[in-house]
Amino acid sequence: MIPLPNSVEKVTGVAAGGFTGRIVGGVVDTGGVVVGVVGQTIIKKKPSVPKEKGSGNQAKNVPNGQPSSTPNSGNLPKYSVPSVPNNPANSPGSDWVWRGKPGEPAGGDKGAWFNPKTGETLHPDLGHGGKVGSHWDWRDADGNYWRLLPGGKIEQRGIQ
Amino acid sequence: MKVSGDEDWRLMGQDKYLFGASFEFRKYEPPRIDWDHDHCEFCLVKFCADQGEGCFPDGFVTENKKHWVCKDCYEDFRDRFRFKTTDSVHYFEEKAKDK
Repeated sequence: MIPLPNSVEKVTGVAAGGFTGRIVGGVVDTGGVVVGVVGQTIIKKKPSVPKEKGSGNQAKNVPNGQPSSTPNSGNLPKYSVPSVPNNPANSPGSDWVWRGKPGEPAGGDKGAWFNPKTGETLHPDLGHGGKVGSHWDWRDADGNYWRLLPGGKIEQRGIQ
Repeated sequence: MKVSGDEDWRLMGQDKYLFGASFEFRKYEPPRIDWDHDHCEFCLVKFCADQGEGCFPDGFVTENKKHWVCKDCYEDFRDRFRFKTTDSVHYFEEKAKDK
């Protein structure tokens, strides 16, 4: 168990912003409120507390597709996680282009957002049923797959 | 010989990690109990263990079991990506019967 500093409150469950958070090297920036992910536990920093040097939120400025300063512990992304749009038809960012089956709408399940600069893809699988439910599939710059779930939860393929 | 063109929508940087990869034809098996599906590396169709609607029950998988490719995309990209196929006699026997 990683001890939490006084300035951090532990939150288990849903992070603010649903799919809209930006997660960088295990740290989620939900627009002013910094939320960290340790394994499957979400930690949330109180907004009123000044940033501490050396804290995890340093990684939030790492550009997409670039290695973050946070080492990959096995179940945390090595790269900054792209911002997932609320509407899957909207691009996740200026470098992203839609690649989809001809005749199918952008943001549908027969295609993905692709970043040619990094090689990343983001596939919306928002109609998926069962226990997994609605999610996005993110392929990072190394070809590793991650599942981005509502609430900022991230799961790496093959790691429990 | 089938070589898909550069404009093919399914090409999304897979050459970085799939060029020259070795594949086996296998029934889909999830990597862990709570990971119920994977997608084709190219066309994104699903492979599912429960063989639900729209799911493929089998396909080509890399030797490290990380990447799945459906039959159609395998055929479309095998030359371009110089895929190697191992231990897939069953698939090619079935394919030969279909002809």
